[in-house]
Amino acid sequence: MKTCLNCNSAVRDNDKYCRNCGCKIQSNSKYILINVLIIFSIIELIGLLALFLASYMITK
Amino acid sequence: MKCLSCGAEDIEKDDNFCYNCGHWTTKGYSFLKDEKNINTIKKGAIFKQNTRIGFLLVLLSIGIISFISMLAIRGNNLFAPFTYLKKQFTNYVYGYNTSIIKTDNKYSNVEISDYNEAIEFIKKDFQEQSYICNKDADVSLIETNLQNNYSIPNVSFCDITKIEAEKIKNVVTKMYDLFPNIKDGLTNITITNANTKEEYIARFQPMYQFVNINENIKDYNKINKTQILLNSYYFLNEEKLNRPLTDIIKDNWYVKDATFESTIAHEMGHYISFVLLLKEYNLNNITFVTKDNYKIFDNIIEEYENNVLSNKLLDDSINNYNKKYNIYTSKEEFAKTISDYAAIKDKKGNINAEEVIAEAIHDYFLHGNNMQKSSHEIVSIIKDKLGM
Repeated sequence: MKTCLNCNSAVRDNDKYCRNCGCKIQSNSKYILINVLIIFSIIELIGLLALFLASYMITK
Repeated sequence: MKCLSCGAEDIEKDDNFCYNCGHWTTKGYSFLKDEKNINTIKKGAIFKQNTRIGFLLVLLSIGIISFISMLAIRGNNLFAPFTYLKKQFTNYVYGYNTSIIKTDNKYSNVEISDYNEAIEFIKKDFQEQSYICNKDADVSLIETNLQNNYSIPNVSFCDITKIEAEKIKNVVTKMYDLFPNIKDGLTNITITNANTKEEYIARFQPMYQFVNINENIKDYNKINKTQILLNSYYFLNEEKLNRPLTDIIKDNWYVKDATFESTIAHEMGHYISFVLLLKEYNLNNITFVTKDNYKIFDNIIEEYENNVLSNKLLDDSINNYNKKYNIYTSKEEFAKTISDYAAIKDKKGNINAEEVIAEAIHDYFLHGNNMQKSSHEIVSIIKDKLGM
């Protein structure tokens, strides 16, 4: 049986919303994807800053 | 029970929210009145996820704005680290220092309306590549002086040592001093990578089709480059230059006392031969190609490649030589007095007149009036034709 990601209450197969907290029932994958994208975005920002600084060092 | 909002059946008495539309039930209404229950829900993963989505969007926005700002500040230089890493990787793979400057870029669908625009385009192509170069101020000054003093649109000694740049400058300067009337023909002198590492030390290329080569000449003007290429395998790798030339080239191949740098004088000898051909057509260069001149330029290149003028020069030189010294000398014997390279034969087994002329000029560069008598005859005719 599935559980609600928000409150961990039991969720029946055909339920679209949690009967306990009212949140929309969704799979784990979206949750994981968002976390992965956040990590990539932080790495990207750090990388961009490193690129910017390196461009000064190399072309001085 | 039925849902108050969507009418879904089978709502149970313990349900706070409708399973179908998420609307609160009667019990849910009481449930939500208690703030503790609301706080508990907000601490759930879904709400946190929604907050994270907002955070992600903020991060992405910051990233995009940062990138655009950095690009506006640094321009192409922002990508210099990638070119630098590529250069290091290439050097590692090849096992020697290589050049980042490419002389074989091609462009299409470019509107060029006159010679000056063509020259500016050539300069721009090199400038856009050279941002990663080791910017030794003295080398940059040498490049600029050669460009300005001898009307060469681009001189690129990217990553070369100052000592080597000075040596090359001395060769080029001396050649223009010896033959002042040869300006305006060259578009660039560039250190670049040869196709194979020892393909050449230096090379003269009379025509490199650079811009709009496949377009119809009636629609687009074209640009050619006339260039002297210096092989990075030698000129960017000091340990190669510190060896005697005879380590890689057999004795007597070039004229006596030849060095790596003096081979540039040999290539400028080819350039001088090309200039003489241009002067036959009252031209200074073949850089800017239009529908009015492209056939003439094609004729020039064909004549150059078939050694039409250089054979005539050589024949005249030999005749003068034979008359002066009251002897008979064959073409082969004549060439052999200069160097083995001068005496090489083409595919048809004939002496390559272009190489004889280039080596004669090389001889003159190295030895001045102490050059071979055969070289002297060639150089005299060349000077006469250049109006010197």
